[in-house]
Amino acid sequence: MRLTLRRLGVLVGLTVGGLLSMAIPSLADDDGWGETDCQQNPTPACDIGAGKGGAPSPGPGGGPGIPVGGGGNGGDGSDPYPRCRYVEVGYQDPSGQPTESGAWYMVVCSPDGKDPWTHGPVFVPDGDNGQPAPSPEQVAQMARNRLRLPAPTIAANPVGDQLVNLPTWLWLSSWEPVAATASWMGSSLRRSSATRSSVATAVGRSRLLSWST
Amino acid sequence: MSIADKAKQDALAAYLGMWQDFVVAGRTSDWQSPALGHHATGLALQNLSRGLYSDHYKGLVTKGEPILNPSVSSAEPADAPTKIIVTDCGDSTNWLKYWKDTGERADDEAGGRRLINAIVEKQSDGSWKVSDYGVHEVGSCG
Repeated sequence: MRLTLRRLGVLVGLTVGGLLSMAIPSLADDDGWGETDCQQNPTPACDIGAGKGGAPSPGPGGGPGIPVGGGGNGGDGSDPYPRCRYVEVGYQDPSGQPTESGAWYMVVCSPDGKDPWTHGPVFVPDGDNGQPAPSPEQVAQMARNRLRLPAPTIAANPVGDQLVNLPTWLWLSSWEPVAATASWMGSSLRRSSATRSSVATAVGRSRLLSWST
Repeated sequence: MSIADKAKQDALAAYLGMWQDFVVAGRTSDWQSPALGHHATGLALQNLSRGLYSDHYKGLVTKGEPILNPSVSSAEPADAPTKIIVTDCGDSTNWLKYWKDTGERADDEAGGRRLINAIVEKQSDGSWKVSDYGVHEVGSCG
């Protein structure tokens, strides 16, 4: 029996550290009320009936979330929405422009702004550093999304074709932990790290070799 | 008709008028539509305009219209109301968003029934306008 390394299937387990527990941000519903509902605009009227069996309203700071991937990266390891950006727009409020100087912005979360997370317009006063910011958990999630553990490299001795009854050594490289950081508008710096915890290698049809820390 | 009944009737008319204006503006995402201010003011007007601007920015339009069946849940002061709370269970099943350029649905997510509470207030000129509203999530009413 001959076994080539090309037939080895590799399963990689990960251990990820950091502030990672958070809810996936809610998106606007796709109906006529979608951009104006309590999820997007938690105005005082959203609290009418609260505690009487009415629908719960979002708490302070509710509204659209920052895209954080939610674990779905399309399978190719890329994060389609690494961060949102503020784009100044020419919106004019029907109730009159705010008296303080500033500008209206759309919070755009993809290159063309056609994603469900893009929202606005929001007014940002000049010199204000208090734009609607993601929570520390969301920033940590951004950092997590940037983590890319290098694929383990399998080496063997003897190199190349293996022979039945001849002992073969297999070993791995790239076991080092990796880390990534993310920050928002110069603050809320968060660091996440990941360490490979195990690797399972399928050898032949039924045998499984495993490494673990 | 009593003063209170007339006030409730006017408040319900303002509520329905506001959504009708919004439906028309939503067909082209016309966030500058002057009609938005006919039955809405304050926070309500801001939310309507900003929502339409967001759709305008993204290239979305809204087709169809909701089914509404509002009722007055409170009025104060009782004898000559100036502030009325309207409650509704609006159905958006046939009022959905589409990409303006392709005409395709923006998403596969269906609309549905939403609990709506609106604050309708008598203005200084005697008219009634919605000053704030809260539309809850799909499935929030029966």
